[in-house]
Amino acid sequence: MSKPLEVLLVEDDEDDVLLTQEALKDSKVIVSMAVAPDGDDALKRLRRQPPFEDAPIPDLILLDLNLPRVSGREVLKELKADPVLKKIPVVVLTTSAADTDILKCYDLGANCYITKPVDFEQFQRIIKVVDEFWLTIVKLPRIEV
Amino acid sequence: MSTTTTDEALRWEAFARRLMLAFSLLTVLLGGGSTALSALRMRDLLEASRALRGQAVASAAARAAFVPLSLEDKAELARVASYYENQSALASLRILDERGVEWARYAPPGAPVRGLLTVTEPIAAPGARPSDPPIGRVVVLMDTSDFRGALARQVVVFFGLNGLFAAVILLSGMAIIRRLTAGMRALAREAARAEDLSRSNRELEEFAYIASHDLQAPLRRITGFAQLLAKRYKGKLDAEADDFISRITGSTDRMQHLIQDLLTYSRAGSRELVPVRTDLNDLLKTVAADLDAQLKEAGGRIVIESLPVLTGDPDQLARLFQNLISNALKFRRAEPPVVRVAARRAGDEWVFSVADNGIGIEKKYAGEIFKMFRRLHSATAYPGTGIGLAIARKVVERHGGRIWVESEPGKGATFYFTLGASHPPKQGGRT
Repeated sequence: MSKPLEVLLVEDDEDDVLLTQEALKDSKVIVSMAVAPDGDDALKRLRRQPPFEDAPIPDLILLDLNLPRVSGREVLKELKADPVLKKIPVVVLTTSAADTDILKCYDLGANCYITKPVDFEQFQRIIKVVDEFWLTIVKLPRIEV
Repeated sequence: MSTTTTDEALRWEAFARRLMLAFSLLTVLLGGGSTALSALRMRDLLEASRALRGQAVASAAARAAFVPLSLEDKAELARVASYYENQSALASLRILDERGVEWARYAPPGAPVRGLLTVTEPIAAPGARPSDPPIGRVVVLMDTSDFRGALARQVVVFFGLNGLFAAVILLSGMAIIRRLTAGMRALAREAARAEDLSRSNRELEEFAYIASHDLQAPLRRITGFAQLLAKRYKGKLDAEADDFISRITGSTDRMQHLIQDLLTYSRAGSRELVPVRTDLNDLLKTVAADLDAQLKEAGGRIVIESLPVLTGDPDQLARLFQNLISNALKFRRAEPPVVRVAARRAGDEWVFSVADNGIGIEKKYAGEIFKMFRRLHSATAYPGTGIGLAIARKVVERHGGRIWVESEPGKGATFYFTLGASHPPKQGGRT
């Protein structure tokens, strides 16, 4: 692959961001990761609203559900209602294992739902699998904006 | 539900009060009205008799006595006259004056007729048609002095009876209303209590759910960084540091289990029951299969006797049996554990038993062990968080049953619980 794959991580907790980055360190895929600390920021980046006019359109979105201001569910809803952005696969990555959350997310059009395991090694394995699956196995759409 | 029930009871009570009051008022008015009417009639009569004082003249109509009477028939006239003479009640007497004007149509019972004076020639009664039999005039002596007394007696009797009637209706109605509303209020209070209880249970479950989710997040980070530290720096720090790190991860492991169990417990209480007809024989086969690894490790066996088919939530019932059997296998003695699952019918419920040959429980702990996170042994001796029996109790209680244990230390324990045979468990709970 010539250009690195773009991943947008929507996650408010810095520790979680760091842990996700650490988990990605062992990934074979070259990934460039942008971090949005809340839903509002994430939507602005994706829509390239100021100050994110030059933000790249990500190949994959890792979305936490419990975010300040605009929640992950709302981000998901907005994304899947957008004719262009809805093509970007969204992986919901959250601590919640509640059936209602899972149902709601798939209702809103999430591409997959993953409950973050407490164990870091498991988490690392999952991130690796997500990476490999979405960024090497799956054929992603070519999105022109 | 509670507030609306209370409001409804109060509204209903107010309505019933008003209705009773209106009814009683109506009774008094109607009774009083009819009394007043009869008093008015009597007043007419009194007027008439006053006008005829001394030599009261009353006209008895043959027609009014329902006997066509010819004035020529003197013998018959004499018979009628003697009838009126002997009759104290002049119910069919019309009182006319000399000009034939009608004063009153009847005399009240007990009107004092003293004697017949004369029977006169036919007179023209007002409104009489030519085809009507002729009407004669019977002159009777009436003792008008008794009239007032009779009237007064009538008034007293009428008002007295009506008043008594109204009072009886009012009082008995009020008593009925009081009893009914007391019943409704008690029901409303009970509903309110039940609502309070279920609300506080719900809040507790929500709290447990939220707490465990929110506790999980920082725990994940602690675990994550501790594991990163262990992975990247193992052997690079000194042995003490490695020991500290492993203690951190050990504790976070344990805490994670506690939180998981708390979540499971709160879900057992908050998820909606889905009661369906469940063959417990099939259910127990699945449970036994799930416990296969533990069974092999313990070198034990499970004996399942014939079990009934009943209505219940299969997932929760499976968890109930699984927790009890798993406990029975865990708290074993040196000898291979044998767990016996049986059921017997008692009235309209089934009493289930899960009996083991394990270490048993002291009597004083028989109630304690069903409490959340209550443990009788160290986690090193028997691993676990102490949630299994709390969940078992929750499942049984949500199915409307009871759970208890009978045991002696060293002689095994038998856990009993009841499930309704005919009544499906109550629906409800948070979805």
